[in-house]
Amino acid sequence: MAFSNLKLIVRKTRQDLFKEKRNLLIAITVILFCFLSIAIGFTKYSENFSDIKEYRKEIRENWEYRPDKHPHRMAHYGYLVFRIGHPLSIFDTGLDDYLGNVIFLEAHKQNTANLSEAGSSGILVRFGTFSSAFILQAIVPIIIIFLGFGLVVQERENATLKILNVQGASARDILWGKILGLWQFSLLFLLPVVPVVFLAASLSESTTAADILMRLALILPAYMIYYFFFSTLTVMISANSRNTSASLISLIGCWLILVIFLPKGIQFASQNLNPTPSRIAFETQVEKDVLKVGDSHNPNDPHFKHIKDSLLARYHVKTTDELPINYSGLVMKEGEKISSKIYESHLEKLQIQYKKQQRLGEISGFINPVMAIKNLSMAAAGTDYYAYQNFQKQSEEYRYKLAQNMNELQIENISNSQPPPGEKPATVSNDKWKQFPDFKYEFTTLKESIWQQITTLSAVLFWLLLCVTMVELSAKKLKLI
Amino acid sequence: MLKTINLHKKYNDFTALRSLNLEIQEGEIFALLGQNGAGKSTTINILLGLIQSTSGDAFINNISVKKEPQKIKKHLAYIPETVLLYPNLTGIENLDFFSKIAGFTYSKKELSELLQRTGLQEAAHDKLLGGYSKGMRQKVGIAIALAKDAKVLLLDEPTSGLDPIATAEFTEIIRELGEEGRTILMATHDIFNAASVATNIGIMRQGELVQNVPSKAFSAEELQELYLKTI
Amino acid sequence: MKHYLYKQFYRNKAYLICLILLFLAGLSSLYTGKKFLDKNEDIINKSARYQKESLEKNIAAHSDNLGLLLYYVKFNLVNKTPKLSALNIGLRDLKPSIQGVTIRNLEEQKNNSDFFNPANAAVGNFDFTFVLVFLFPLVIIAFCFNLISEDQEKGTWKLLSVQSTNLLKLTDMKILIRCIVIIALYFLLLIIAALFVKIPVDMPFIIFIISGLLYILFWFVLCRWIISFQKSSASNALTLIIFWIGMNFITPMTGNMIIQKIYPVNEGMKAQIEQREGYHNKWDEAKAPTMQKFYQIYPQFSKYKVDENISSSYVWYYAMQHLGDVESHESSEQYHTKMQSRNDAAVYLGYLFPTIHTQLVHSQLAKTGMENQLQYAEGLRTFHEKQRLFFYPYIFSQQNADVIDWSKQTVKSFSDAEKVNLLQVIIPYFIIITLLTILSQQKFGKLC
Repeated sequence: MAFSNLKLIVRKTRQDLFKEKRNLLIAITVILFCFLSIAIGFTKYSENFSDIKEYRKEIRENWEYRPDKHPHRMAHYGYLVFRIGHPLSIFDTGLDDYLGNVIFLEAHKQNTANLSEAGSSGILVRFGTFSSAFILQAIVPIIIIFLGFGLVVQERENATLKILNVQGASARDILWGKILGLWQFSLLFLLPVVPVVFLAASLSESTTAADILMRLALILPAYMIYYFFFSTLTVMISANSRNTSASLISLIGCWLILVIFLPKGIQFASQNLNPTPSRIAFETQVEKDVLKVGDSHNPNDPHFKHIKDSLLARYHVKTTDELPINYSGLVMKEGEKISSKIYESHLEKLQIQYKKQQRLGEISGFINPVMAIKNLSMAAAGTDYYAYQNFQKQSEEYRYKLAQNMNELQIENISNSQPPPGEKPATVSNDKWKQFPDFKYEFTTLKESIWQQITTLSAVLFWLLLCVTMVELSAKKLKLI
Repeated sequence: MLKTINLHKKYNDFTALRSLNLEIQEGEIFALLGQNGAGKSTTINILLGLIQSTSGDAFINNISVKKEPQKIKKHLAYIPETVLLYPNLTGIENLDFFSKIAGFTYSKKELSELLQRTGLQEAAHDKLLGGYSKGMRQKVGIAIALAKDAKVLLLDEPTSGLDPIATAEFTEIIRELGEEGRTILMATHDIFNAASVATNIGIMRQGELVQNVPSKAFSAEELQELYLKTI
Repeated sequence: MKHYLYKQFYRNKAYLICLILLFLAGLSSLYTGKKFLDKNEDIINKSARYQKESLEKNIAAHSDNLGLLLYYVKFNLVNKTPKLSALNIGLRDLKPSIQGVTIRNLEEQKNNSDFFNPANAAVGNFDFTFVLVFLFPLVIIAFCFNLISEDQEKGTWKLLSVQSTNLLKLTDMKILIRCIVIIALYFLLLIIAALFVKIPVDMPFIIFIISGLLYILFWFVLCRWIISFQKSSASNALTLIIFWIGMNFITPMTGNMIIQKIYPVNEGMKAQIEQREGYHNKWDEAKAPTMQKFYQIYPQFSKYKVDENISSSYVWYYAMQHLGDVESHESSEQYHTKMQSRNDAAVYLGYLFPTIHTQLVHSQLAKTGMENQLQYAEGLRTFHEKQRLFFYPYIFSQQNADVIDWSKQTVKSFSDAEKVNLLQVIIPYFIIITLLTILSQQKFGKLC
């Protein structure tokens, strides 16, 4: 009996929402906006992808067809690598706009990824990016609020609430019935978008359909839980408000706090609790530390003098010119190792600060479901901070390999003695260039992203449980008159 | 059968009900009179299980309201003072919905018959409730109560705002229900209507039942005098 | 009679809570701004020391090889950060306020971004302009949405229309009270800002204040128009919130998306590729044509000849570096032009939407917007050229580092001299405020 009452109320709530022409109009408008953003995102992504394919080809060709030259020149010529976002960035742009798109990899120096989309846009970009994820995360909740703010309080004002109860519908039936009815209607905003995203992402050809499917399989239930939260919130506040105006205003207040204030507040707190150095401070510190250990370009540097002496002793010669191996290549290799290590350790400290800031954001998912869904959505779409760190890591590994490869070539192939004046400096044949492989960027796997976001995943599940608990507790205290 | 034992309700520093003791048998129509704020609606709300009494208990067909608030609802039917229902459904749809909630599924013919019994013309059955007059809405409320086929009926000022014809139609239905053996408690201001249909009359003042008399003992005017004297 | 209207206002607890929350938000934003400014000033102050230390170290290591010395040494140019930027952080959290460049080619160096956490940047800044543009309207909506409908729903409207001959004046009086309170809070926050952050009361600050004031007036007139339709409270709240969402989120986002589509900026990447090829290719080419091109640009250096067979020469090296810049110059210019076009398009969009207009105007005044960044980039180019032309003769003639007065090589500042056009700021506000006033007057005429 109780279950059928629940079904009756769910059905009625859902039907009432569907019946209103205005509601259907809103739903269609929202879905169309989502489709628009997906369409534009798709064209932008495809264009970008084909541009980058061309650039990569150009860079590779230029690399392979460089003439014979000294490997150290090649190490300075370096490589340009381009970042390509995950195709699901069409759905959730995440941090994409703020991430650099090209890194110049060269010897002795670690560069940042530059030319982010935001860096080339003006103030408008700070208003936010127009993606389906934004609409689904920020706009649909307020629509849910507008559709549902009167669900309980209006019935109380019309005295139909107590009649429902007298007819046999328990408070529990009434609350769950309204929540589920509202939630089912809210899915109307979500369900049509998912297959379109799948289609657009698959057409982009930069990753497998299976990968996209798996990620969407995570996104869909996450958003469903998110809408369940907002449906619960709406009905709970409706049930506990004195009149419809109070209900609406409280709900709008909640939306503001959850969607606007708390995220900014958390960001502010995380920045101040875990401050990071500016670029110039960072570089100066690295420079200082490198010079403390040894400067590979300075022939009188003590660290390298030590290496020189030990080498001379080992090969029983008096000057570096007499060494059988290319001394400057060796020095360069050592220098590369030192500066790389020092830069790495400083970068790691910086990354730890960023990670701490990130952690705060993830933990805030437990007090703000909007943060939880934002983080989870970004992770599943491959546009979160971890995916970006992965790109930086892969680029740095490639850079180090390139520099050391060139140093090896120098050590093995370039004679140690200085060429007599007038003669061209020693070179290495250019088919060595072709032997060095191209940069292949691998997208972060979903498993890795999720493992990084375990906290966020738990937060989403936490909110599900909390909602269920709150409804059960609230049912006992529902004011029927 | 309806019984209250020392029913007491206190809000902060205001006592709405003081030790109410009431007993209404099957087939009895009890009219509860009193000024606004005397405690009539509070009594009915407690009997309906909508609010909790501070102390004391009430029994509907020997089931305790305090201990089993959901169970008693199966035995109760209720007609509120202002019947608003759902304006976006028709009269018949409203009746159907509330009957289904109570666990009764009627065919369209049966629903129509129920509405006709209350005096609602057939032409109005399929019109949206938002367009009904107050009297028409009241009739739907009565139909909902009838459809539940409950043994105990609680009515809160059922004839307020009704025209004389509707009032007469309503009174007839109540009399029939009483003859069928149902227990009826009716809170009302309409002394004359109470005198004509009720078996017993109770007068409440400041939360207490100060008079409990059979209606046959008085004429309508005498009843009015008693009322004015009591309050 | 008027003082009863005041009483009705301040006895409303909900209103007081709104005002207190808005005030606290304003204070937080001022704190954020001050912290940002302090961090910025700290970086700039430290940079003088860094540059000096770096110079000393490098001079000690390479005093006899000026070409190699200048390969390493970075010269810093500061983008002056006015105190007003504490109220509008704009792009300054993304783009560095100080950039260091060597005299090697500029194209490779100028796009070096600062270190920032993209997750934080994506959320945006909680500065005073944010509070003004996003939060003030919400409080204004909360104050005004049920001015008429509350009375109508309570039933006192009918009574008022019988008692009073001019309901319009009564409603306007109520709006005026709310307007005065909000403007008072606005000025209170500005005074605290001026004292706490020590903002000089100059022309930019005054225009800043005026623009904010007009923005507040715009919202009051918008509310006045919406409530004149005499719909229910819930309907008014819904409509006004939709306006708020539309103007603060949907329009700027859609606008930005469309602008990004119309003006794609792949020239930036192209320039980077061209510069790299342009410079590195020269290593494999004959020196003569390279030097020829260099002498054409800078005839004053044609006396420094480069022997074809020499293995390395700093004259040749720096010539190659500069030619890398020359070859990527066109793409670089196009990139800048595109960014300028993007900004112009945003400004035009702002003429229609006061939310966007206020943000753009404020960032322009605080020198934190795109215009300032483009000017700074140009300033950096000029600075770079100056440094190069100063050092070239010393390098080319292979002099020792001692001959240069290094104490003069301090951190330099760039000041953006662009003046803001007052009319261009004020007129869009006036147009829309006048329009809304006329519309609401029409509707109010039907009030009684």
